Amino acid sequence: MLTFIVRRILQTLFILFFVSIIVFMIMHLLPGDPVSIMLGDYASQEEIENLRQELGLDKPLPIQYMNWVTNVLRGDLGNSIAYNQSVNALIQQRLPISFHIGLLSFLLAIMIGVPAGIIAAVKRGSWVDSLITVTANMGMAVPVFWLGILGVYLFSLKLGWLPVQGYTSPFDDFWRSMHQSIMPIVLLSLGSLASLARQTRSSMLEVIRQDYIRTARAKGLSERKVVLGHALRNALIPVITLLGMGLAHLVGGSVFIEQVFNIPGMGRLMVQSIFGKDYIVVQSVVLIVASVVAFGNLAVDIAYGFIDPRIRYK
Amino acid sequence: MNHLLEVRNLKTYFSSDGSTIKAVDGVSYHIDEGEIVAFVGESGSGKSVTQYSGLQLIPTPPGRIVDGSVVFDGEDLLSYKPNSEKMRKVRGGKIGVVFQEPMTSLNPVMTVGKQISESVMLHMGLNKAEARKRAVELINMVGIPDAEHRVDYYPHQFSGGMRQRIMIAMALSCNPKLLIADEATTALDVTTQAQLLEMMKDVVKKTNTSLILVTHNLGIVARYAERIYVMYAGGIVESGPTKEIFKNPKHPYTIGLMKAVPRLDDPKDRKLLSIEGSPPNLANKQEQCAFLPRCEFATEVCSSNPAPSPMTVGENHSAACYVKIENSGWKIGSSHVAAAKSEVSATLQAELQQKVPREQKETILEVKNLKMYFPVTKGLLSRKVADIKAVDDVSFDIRKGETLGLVGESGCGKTTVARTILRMYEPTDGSIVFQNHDITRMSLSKMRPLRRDMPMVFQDPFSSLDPRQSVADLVGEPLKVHKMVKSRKEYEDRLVELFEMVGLNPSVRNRMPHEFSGGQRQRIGIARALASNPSFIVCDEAISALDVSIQAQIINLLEDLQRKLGLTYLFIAHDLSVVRHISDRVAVMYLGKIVEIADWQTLYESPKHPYTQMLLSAVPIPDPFIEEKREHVEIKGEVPSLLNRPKGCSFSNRCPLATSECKEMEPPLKSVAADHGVACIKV
Repeated sequence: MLTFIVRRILQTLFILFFVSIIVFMIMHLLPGDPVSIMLGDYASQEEIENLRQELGLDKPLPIQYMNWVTNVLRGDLGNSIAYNQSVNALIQQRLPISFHIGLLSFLLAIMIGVPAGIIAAVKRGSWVDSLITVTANMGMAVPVFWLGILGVYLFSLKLGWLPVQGYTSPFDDFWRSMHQSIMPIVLLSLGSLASLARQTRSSMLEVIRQDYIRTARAKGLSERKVVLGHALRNALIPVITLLGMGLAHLVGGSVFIEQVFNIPGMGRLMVQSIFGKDYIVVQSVVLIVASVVAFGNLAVDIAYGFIDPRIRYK
Repeated sequence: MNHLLEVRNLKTYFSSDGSTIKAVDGVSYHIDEGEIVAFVGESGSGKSVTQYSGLQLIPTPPGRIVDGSVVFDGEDLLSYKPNSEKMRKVRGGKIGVVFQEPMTSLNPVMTVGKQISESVMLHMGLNKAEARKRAVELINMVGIPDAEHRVDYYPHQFSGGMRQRIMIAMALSCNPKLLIADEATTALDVTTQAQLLEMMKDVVKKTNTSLILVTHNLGIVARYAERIYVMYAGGIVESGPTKEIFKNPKHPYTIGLMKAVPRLDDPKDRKLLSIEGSPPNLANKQEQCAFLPRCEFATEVCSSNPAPSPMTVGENHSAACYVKIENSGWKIGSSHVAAAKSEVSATLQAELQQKVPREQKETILEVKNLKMYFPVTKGLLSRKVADIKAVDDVSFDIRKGETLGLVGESGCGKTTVARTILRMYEPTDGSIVFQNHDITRMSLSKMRPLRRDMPMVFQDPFSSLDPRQSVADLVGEPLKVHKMVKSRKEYEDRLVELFEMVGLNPSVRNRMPHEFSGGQRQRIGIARALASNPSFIVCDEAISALDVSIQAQIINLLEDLQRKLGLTYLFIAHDLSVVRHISDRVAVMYLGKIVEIADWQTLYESPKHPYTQMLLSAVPIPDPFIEEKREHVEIKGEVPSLLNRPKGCSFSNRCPLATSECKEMEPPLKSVAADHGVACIKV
């Protein structure tokens, strides 16, 4: 088990190394020059050269990469070109906001998706099952932006229950924060929630057919104990894989949701930085997001070990 | 006296795709206290569904118990709701079940101790600590050493045999009145099978528990059962005391079964009489007797009347058949030898008499000191820490036209030997000479033309045929690969010839594999192997997945083809009776080594190696009279893992003859007589 964990950690670091190279390359190979954007159209050649030197952009790419990585490893992400601020400070402001929205929608997806899947599987073929399956399929098929617009139109504009946009930290004003963030959280969770429900249902159905479930029934256990005590833990194994992937899904969704609801999180920062050619910020944000997803998946793999003894004792 | 269990007119149907499958169709039987009763039948005969119906363990839907009563201990179990408390008290509490597949019947994410405690806490009202104590006790009782420690193990840390012991412990945990063993030993090796059945028998006799053995193995029935119910197509066709049924079978199906089963004490030239055809499709079951299309005794009465119900034909003996069969052509015991001999064709006898001595026959395959090791890796860098010696120094040769049977328990390396010979693995060491070509290190492109001379017939006829190709394409593929036909017409002609050769109507050749039954698919597998006109065929457990009556058909087919085409077989199997029947020479493997090799007669009649003796003793003979008198060698322990091979002789830790000497050195395979090798220093 220990070897397994160490091996997975090494793999994760390797992945991050690759991500950093790719991110670095993309931003530098794309057309468009950050320097000219910063200085505007009327800058002289000399000014441009000076700034390039200042930013280290005149050096060969490998050296630029090395410099960047060394700084990142030291904990210094560099300075934003557009914000005139250190990227560290920017991230410090933005990351907690994205975490707040992301974590809550992740939990919401698990807390509703998994039980819904279990119920659908246990009541297979009933109207409850059909309702859950159809809803889940719709949840996966309908694009979030459309639902977002619909939600804003219905709850904010027509009914006036929720604000159209905005963000407040829950530590500043809890109720106001909840009020503002409930719709983004729900919308963000929908995709993962739906796929979790579907995966839980099918994996539960698969497990219920297994011989050991028959054994459990033949012991005289109640249906409740059979399902929750014997079937669930086995059924969760593939569901947990999905959680890791759901994390990536969440990141993608947050870019969108933050834009729609005007939430100053990482997703919005990324979008703005891309438009502004603020390549240092983009690099940093992508690197952080990739780290979160990679370590999330690492956590998932380690969680396997705890759920499935066959992995633990290898 | 009231019976412990009395089932009346039980009907369990399954609906699928709009049709109703009558899996159990009007079955009545009873079990008394302390009795051991066997339910015999082939797959799909409804023997398991019958047992699960009473416990209401049938998945509903698609299953449905339509009619009948199951009175257990004075109460009708079918009057309970499926998951009601009353029903659940019976399940596990009063009736314990041991299922077929030990590998999948235990929950993989729960310790075995917990799985046993669970039932004890439920039915006996013990607390956690007491339940654990009881679990340790039970694990001990079923013969697992170090129970105190093992109770916290997970199922995957046990071998199949051990897992089945745990299943038995679980089924017996609450002192049930009835134990149902549903094909409980089918998936296990013969020695483990014998150990477990012996143990179950001891326990139930000690505690006066009734035992239902659901099985297709007539040998087990003969050795253990007191009474038998024979099932066919969802109904009981014959029932009675074991000895009476074996001596005097009255239903044509029972008679057919007895004639079809190869036995350990058969005369070599006995031709197995298979039951022609295959079991009926229960979805559109006819009104008449279900066995009618396959019955050799059928008369006018049978086709014009509805299916017969059981009629008394002797004391406690009844059969569901209109025909009073006096001369069934079946005789048990010594006289059966004579009866069987007369069925051997005259040509075969002539052949047998003018046998060419083995030395003069051409050697087709010679394997010398073959070793196939698989590395075991460990740690971060996947360092090689050890070798799994799957095949360790194996030597044998096969002469033209002969069949070498390779037997041994699962994991002994017999399939690895075959695959290494066919170069599906790169041999670690040794040499393989096939038709005078040394193919040990031959490049794969050079191998290709030779491959057409060494096809394989696989074990599982269901997964070894590509489900998306028509059977004609499957059978014809080797012809195309080896460019053996020049024109479309030649190809078609050859296909027709191949289908006829294996006893299939060539008109079915454009169908897909799923449209065929298991036996038919195995014929297709054989036709595919024959396509390239080989001289040598490897049959890897080619008949083990088939039912008894079908098994006989395939054995006969293989034997006929061998005579007609002069084929040479390497026949790998774990069923010693089958191997005895088909082989000229037999090699016994244990932990990657051949421990004994000899012609079939010597090996079966005077085995020298203690392991061979133990194996043979473990195989039950389908004859209760012989079983009664037979002495059984005690079977010690279980097959160790290849990584924990005992020092010296691999068998030394289980061998009754072993002394300290045996643990010092590995015994070489030494010749004790002409063509008879034994790897034991005590011989």
